[in-house]
Amino acid sequence: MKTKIITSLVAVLALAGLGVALKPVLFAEDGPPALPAVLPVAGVELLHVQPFELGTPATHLWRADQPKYTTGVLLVVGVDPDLAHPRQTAEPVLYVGNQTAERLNAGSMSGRLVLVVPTDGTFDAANTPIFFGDAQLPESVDAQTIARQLDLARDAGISGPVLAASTDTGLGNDPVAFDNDYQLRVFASDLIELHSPDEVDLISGLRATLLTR
Amino acid sequence: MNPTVLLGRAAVALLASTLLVPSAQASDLTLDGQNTALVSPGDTVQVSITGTPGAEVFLALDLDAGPTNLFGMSVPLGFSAAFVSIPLGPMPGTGVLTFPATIPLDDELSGLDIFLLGVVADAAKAKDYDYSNGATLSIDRRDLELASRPLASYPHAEFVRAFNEGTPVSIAIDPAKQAALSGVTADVYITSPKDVTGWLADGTLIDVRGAPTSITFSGTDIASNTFTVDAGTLSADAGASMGVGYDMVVDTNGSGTLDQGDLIDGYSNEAGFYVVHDLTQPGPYAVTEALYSGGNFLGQNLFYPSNISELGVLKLLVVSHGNGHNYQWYDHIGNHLASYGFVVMSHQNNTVPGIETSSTTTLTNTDYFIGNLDIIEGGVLDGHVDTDNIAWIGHSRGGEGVVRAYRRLLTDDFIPANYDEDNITFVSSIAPTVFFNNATSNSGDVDYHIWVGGADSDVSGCSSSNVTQSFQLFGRATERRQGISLHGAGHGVFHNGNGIFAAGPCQVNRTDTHTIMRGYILPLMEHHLRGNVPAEDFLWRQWESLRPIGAPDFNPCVVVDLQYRESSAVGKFVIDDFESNTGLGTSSSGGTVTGTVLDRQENRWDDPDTNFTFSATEPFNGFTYAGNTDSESGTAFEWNGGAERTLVFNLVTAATDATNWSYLSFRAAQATRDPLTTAVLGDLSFTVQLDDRNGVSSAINIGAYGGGIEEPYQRSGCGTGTGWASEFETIKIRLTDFTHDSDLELSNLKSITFRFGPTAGSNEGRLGFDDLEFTTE
Repeated sequence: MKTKIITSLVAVLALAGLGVALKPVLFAEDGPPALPAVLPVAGVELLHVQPFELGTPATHLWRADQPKYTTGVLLVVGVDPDLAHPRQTAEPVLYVGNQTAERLNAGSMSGRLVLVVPTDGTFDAANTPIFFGDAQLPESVDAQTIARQLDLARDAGISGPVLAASTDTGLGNDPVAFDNDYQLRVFASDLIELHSPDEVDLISGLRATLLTR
Repeated sequence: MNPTVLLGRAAVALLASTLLVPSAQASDLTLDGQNTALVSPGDTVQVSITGTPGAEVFLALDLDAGPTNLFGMSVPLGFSAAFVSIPLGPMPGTGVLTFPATIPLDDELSGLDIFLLGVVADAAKAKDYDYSNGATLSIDRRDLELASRPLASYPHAEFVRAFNEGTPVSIAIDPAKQAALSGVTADVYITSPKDVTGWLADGTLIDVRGAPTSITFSGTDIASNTFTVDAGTLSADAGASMGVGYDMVVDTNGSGTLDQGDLIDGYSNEAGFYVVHDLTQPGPYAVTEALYSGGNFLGQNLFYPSNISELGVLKLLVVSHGNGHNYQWYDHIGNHLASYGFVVMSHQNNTVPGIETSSTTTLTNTDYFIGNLDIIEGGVLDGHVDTDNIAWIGHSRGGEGVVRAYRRLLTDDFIPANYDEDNITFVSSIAPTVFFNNATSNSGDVDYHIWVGGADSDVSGCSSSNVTQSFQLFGRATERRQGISLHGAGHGVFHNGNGIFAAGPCQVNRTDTHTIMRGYILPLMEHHLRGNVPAEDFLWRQWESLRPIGAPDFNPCVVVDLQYRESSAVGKFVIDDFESNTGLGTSSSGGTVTGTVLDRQENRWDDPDTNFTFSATEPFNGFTYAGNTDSESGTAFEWNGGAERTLVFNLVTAATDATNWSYLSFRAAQATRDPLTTAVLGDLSFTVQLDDRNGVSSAINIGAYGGGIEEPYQRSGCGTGTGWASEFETIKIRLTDFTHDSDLELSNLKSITFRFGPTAGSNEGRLGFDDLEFTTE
């Protein structure tokens, strides 16, 4: 039920045009779009925050030390689709403060990304910089790299996300509880469907029937 | 032929074998330690006779087993008109005379039983002679190459194993090797295949076409002894396999039975040749597709034959998608292979964090699948999946991920519950990235395969980054490796989801690419997982020579280059792989290398800068098979100006007898953007010449088989100029092709000479050259 309430809320916001407008981007027939010469870049718009808790610790594979986590936030952000465009070569890493974000969807057509960000149970939506840093494999990003990228971001004037007027910061929301990160992703598939509905295979894949013994 | 003449021919050969051995107590005769021996022409048998030292020894041969009463003694020999006696000299002091006897390579001897008797002239015996027991030497027949396709130029015929359905099947006889056939009218049968035991049990010839073809052979040459024996009527309906096998028999005496003097292609556990249906079309089974998940990053898209419960144990292919791709984007692979009785599981792949996470999901999904067969699809696959011979195929980051996953199994970095590295038989990468170095992303000795699209604009192949030089993973494979390069194919056309990601001219769309993929992945899986024989032909014969029937020939943009290097485990002799003895004058096998080609250099296949722009100071420009942690090396050289240029590999002693090898194999690539390449854009050809130590030469232009070395894909970017990364093509020439109408002795070779220039092929060119080997069938 909670899932439906949240997705409905986001749907209303989106339909009202209060979020980042969907940016239609055709898949490039001549290759992934060029990356900016200088990173980090600002401009990430925060659209939705949903805290969560996990009954079973999950592993954050998006940084080299692969920490376990049981609390975090699901974010929906609006981004430049060119920056989000999937490529086989290194991609700009998306940072949320002093953490790397796990990107659950591609977002290269919608310009919307649904993120999993491990936290210590708190999240300051207004003052946490969200930015694309240097292109590399997230699995190779260590704490030093994160600190350096965060410094670069602050040096570039990135002090927090762009907050849309409609941003549901989630600060008042109770965390949604899941047994494990699989359930978290099923939940997140509703957000992807709402914000990046073209990604039908991803959505159906996340919702594939769970086999149990 | 008269039996006495035949026996005399065998006797002379046996006698000749004794000349260099020391000559021999009582008289026992054995062949390889037994009273009987079954050998084939060309085989060697150890003959051993015992008797009184110093006595004169004779070996008697006959086609009649006897016995004969001789001076009151029963002697085990017939003493017929075919009787021959060979003096062997005095018995050595040991009282044992042993010598090797090699059976002549004379197919006229096939099917003969020769009866032998040792005779020792013992003066102490009243009748002067001590007779041994009798021994029987049975000469089996040789499995010959007969089924062929005619060629317009020398060697005039190519003996092959695979024929596409609807294409003519010919027989070729080299009169220099089968002189007895000159002037003979014989019946050529195409029969259902039998193994040796089958033919020995029943030699009756039954032609699958209803009647044999009557052919009169001449003594002229192989070209005039190449005849179409089937216009393309043979069935190719192999059900869920590929290739219907046939044997080809020349019945020289019209007996309608495989008997003495007849020739056969297929006298082995394999058929003589195979006729193959359109591999691009689906197989006979209906396919069931399922989508399920075992948990986080354990989403799986499964394809299997709907009647799997009736099909025994099936081979498994695991598909690992690329970054931004989806595991539901490989239906074209899943449906096609499942219709031929394979199980295909495509899984959720964690590619965005990187290669290590991608490799983990390949490993965990394979483990989950094997460990949960009892609940997947209600357990219908349980007991029907061969988990001992698994293939992995990955795309882009997933393409490197499967290589990394195999390396992690080798190094016990990841230990699955349900399998290990021995269960992974084959690894294939589609347009893979190369983030990791040689020690980390390295498929080692597992059979490895790569697909590369020339128009790929994502993993582009440009030398600007190691990440995009897919061929580096190919260069790291240490054993059997194969590659398919598709000009004009973009990154995304290999899946069936969103995005093409292509740049360059004459692009090949997803429909045509998938047709090529279906026609190629079936023989790839058939060969590596099922050991299918004709499938191998589709993996190395040049596209111009053999390709799936349904290949999009109507699309002039379709250009396909194939590479194939055999495994040392199968057997080969590496003449030069340029990995050792890196001086220009010595091959890796230790033979001297000479020649007059220009600007010849040996080095790593590593474009030294970040673009493909031509530079006279970059002899390895455009070659992307190695990075700075790799050792994959070769030689590059050029020729122009009208004079013939050569590159000569003198053979070390261990390589001079090539009769145990089937092919001469090497790979070559036109150097991209080099003025000598761009001077003429098209297939480049040259001549390969073998010289024996008798002064006999035989030369074949590689273009004789239908294709040469392809020009690079004409894509611009990655610097100035036009032409994408240099792509190797493998050329394999059957060694016996060099003996057509020739006295060249493959047992006594001296050198291999590559000849370049207008008298030998293309007027000019610059080539990369590598992996010169003798290989087996």
